[in-house]
Amino acid sequence: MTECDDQLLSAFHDGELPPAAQAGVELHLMTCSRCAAQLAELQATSRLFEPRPDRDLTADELQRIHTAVEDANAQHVWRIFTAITALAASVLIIGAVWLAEFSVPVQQAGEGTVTAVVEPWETVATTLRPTPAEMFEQGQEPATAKATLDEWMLQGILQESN
Amino acid sequence: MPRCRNYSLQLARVMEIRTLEVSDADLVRAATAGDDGAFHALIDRHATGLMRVAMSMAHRREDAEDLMQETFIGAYRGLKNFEHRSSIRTWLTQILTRQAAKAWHRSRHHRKALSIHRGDEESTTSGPLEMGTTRPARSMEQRLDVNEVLQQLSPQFREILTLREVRGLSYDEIAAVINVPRGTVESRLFRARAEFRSKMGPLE
Repeated sequence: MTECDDQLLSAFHDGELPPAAQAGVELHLMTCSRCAAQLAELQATSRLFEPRPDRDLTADELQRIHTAVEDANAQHVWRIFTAITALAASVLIIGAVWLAEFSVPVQQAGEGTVTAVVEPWETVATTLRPTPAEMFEQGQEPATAKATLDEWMLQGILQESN
Repeated sequence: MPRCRNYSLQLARVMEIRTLEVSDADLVRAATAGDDGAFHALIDRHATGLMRVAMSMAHRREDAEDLMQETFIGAYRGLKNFEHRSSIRTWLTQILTRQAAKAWHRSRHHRKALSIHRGDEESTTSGPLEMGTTRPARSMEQRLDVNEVLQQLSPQFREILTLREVRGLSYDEIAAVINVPRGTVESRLFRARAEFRSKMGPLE
């Protein structure tokens, strides 16, 4: 250090210079009264920040910090519990709505009788079933075709009686 | 109350830790693994030093206490993210400075300019000065509250002065806390000191 450098002096005061630069500043200080005065002012400023008992943490304040962390932890656990409960409730509600919406609706056909309403998809599935004649043509067992024919006839009789 | 039972258990754990020589790193590892007593031991170990920083960054003692609580709650919640690249002391200081910056931004519209009644103070202590006695630094400290001068500085200057002068962090540690290069720490600290001294007036 050959010339006055206040920033370097500040770093010197903090002991943050490499050894060579530190030695250079020490040498400069021996001959420069201005920098020596600057350094004395830096030291006086630092002394102003020395710990003061009135700024220390009190036992009550420390206790309140412990309690605040405890409470925050408890709230965190409670939030997780609430979130899981809310999720479970949502699944239940969605499940209940789904069951109500997509289950087979029933209607009263008469006193003491409950019949299921045939859904459109179910009708389509039924109509896609091959007729006994088609089953014969497809070479299926005569017994199976006969049973199917009997079933069809029975259904026809039931429909007419209704 | 379940909290009381839990807290007494933790207190016992803290007392147990106090009797052992456990490093900060071990306490952090234990706390991360779910040992709340280890975290409370960390509070005991670092709260005093942090409070001095908080007192320098906040205008009122209650604000400093709030800062402390927010800091340790934030540390507790973010403990799993602590990567051990810096010391726990530096990491806690970093959280505190961030909380202080947040608090400052929250209150910036409500803050009132502080005034230092130096003239009034000087008139009450003019006797010894007129007699030409040398005023030691300690009497200067009593006459003017350093904290009030700090509050007059920009947040950046207040922060860096506090980290160096109050917390005693090295330049490298300050660089890690405020996330700037080491060269910036050196130049900003120099300017902060110059600003502080100009507001403080002559010390002798």
